[in-house]
Amino acid sequence: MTSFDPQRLDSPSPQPGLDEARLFELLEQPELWPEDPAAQAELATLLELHLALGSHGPSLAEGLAPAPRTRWTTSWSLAAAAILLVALVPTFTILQRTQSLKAQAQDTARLEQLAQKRTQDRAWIAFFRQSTTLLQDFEQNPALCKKGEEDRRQEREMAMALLEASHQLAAQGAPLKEAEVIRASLHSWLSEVAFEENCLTVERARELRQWAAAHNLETESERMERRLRGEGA
Amino acid sequence: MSPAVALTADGGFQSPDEPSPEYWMAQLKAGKEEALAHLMARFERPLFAFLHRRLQGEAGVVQELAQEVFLKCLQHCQRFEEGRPVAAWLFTLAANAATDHLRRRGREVPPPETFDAPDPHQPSPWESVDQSRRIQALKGALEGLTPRQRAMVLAYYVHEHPVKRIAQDLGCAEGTVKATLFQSLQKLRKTLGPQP
Repeated sequence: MTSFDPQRLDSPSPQPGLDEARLFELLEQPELWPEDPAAQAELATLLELHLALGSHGPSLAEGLAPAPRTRWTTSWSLAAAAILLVALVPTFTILQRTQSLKAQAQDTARLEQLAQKRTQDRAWIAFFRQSTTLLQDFEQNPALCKKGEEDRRQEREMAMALLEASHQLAAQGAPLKEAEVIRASLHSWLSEVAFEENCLTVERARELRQWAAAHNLETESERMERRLRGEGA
Repeated sequence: MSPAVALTADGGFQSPDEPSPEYWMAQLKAGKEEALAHLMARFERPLFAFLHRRLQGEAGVVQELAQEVFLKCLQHCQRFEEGRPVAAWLFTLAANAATDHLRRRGREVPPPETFDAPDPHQPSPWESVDQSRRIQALKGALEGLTPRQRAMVLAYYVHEHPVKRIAQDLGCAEGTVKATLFQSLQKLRKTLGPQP
């Protein structure tokens, strides 16, 4: 372990440079610092300054006079080229890296947004498609119950499932304002069907069909499904 | 140029009235967990910078490890020995966390030779104002170095040249460059203010 005496650092060392070089190496290895609290305090302060200088390095370069030339080994043109390289290459690399990271983050966010939108659209498309099927089924002549009533057990179960889906879609939000309007209309109709008995009187079944027709539910639902699929306005 | 206040861990400024990290550690040991927030505010940036350099290119885990350091600080604060500088203890915790992480990953990475990575902790607009003051103070302090010291400091910290290259450029031994950098840090610290 390096012996360390902060007081000694203020006075000339018998072997100038050697101890300080080792201490500089130790700066970023606090696990190897000597046990002496005073030495640790000194090294910690210098490490903090060392890190601060590193963090602020590029900013420090702005407005500072160039470092004095210590060795005249190159021509002016080479020196100028070197200065340009030193100044431009790191700047360009940092800019490129920053732009690349920004673009990557934007792309990732955009992809996530698109994936979320696709999932949302798929749920709405499925809702409109199944609603259309249900409305078409409701137009068909069903089997009859005992008293001559229409057996709408299957349609009722389907309506209950779609009603639940409608609640969820309303909570998630609609991809289009128009889709929300049509969902609301379908929701009312689905509620009526879901809360009926399995066997409907012929009059009540007709009433429900008339309601659907009056609101153009089948056509609208089909149109919205196509629109969300991107198959036309 | 000499600022009126002391330079702190992150190259920022500490008011003379502000309690020291040792005070906050004593509070933490006494069970006042809110003291941890003061220690975090004081050491978050330097620990980020330290870990970022230790884990060259693994920026993703820096924040995770910094949190681990503060968590250990909270959990093991009773093990902290009175009289020891808090900064040294936290940097040691950070160094150990980085070593454990690298060992888990099955690789050893020595401390980087130069400052080749940007500061991962982006400053807020308010921090930027403070940062501008810090930079001015550092620039002023650099003027107080000898031409040779200044040349080495600029080459190492500003132009990010490794020690080996600086030694070649200046025609001296690597040990001389390291020693001069260390002496320059001591001189800069004296110019910037008393030890926090």
